Amino acid sequence: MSAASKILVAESFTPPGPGDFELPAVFGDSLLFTKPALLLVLAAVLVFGFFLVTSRKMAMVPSKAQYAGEQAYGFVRNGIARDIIGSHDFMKFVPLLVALFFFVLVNNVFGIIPFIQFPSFSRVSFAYALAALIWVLYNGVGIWKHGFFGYLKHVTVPGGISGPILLLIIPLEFFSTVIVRPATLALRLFANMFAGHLLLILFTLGAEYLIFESGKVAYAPVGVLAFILAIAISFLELLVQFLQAYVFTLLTAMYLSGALAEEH
Amino acid sequence: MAFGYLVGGGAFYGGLGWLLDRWLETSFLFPVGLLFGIALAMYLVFKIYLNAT
Repeated sequence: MSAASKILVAESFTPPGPGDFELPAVFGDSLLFTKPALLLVLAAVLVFGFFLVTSRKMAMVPSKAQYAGEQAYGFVRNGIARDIIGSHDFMKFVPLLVALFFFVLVNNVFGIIPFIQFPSFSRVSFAYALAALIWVLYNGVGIWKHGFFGYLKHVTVPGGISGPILLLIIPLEFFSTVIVRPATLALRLFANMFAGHLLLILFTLGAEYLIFESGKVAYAPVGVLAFILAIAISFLELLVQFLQAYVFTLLTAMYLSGALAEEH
Repeated sequence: MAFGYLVGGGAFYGGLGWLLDRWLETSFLFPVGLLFGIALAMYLVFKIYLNAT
């Protein structure tokens, strides 16, 4: 292929890539305040506002708003916190888990809300920060419960294993609990949001190109099909977004319950 | 959880093998460490999850 035709191909359709996630600053050129940062703040305000409005006027016979708020709260309280952590300790962690679930959920669903259309956690730094918070929390809870050396023993020595093989197991266990865990927690959320958003960009840009810019009438029906698929994928993404928020909260609860457990 | 063990085992013992490779100027210890770590992680997963049920 000659250089000239390569340039022609590059000009005709630019496939989306990681560069599409690097959005410009919202005000001026401060890179601290970009669109995803703005979305994080918006999500926090929305979640706070939702629970404020639905819990402001509590009544024995709940209004529709109170009912919705209680259902949302009860879903995380009973479905995640109580089931995983157990009825003895779970109430302490319910506020955190409820806030975490809805914060992640709203941020994820931003990915398919028209005019917002960007899942904040498709920027990996936000996912790392959130996982770091969880890491500090579950290790802190473990140290508070077992003492520093007690917790160290708790995370490195699995129950039911004894003998010289412990020499090999202890570093492995430490590595997978303390180092790999927060990384997989962050990357799972990030990669799902990143891939979903990339897929949506690809289908919509491809449809737009095929219909309006390819200059060939025969391509237009394929473009329409791509656009219909983009809408279908949006619904699939809604499922993934909900599922990832759920999994993130569920794993947080599991790590907390693991740190609190008496024995493995 | 099990996935974490497999990644952790491979990464830790693979990393150890890689470091030894650099130190001893060999090239076979990285794959050996990697496989050893994964095997150890599988042993651990079986041990823990068979005990739990």
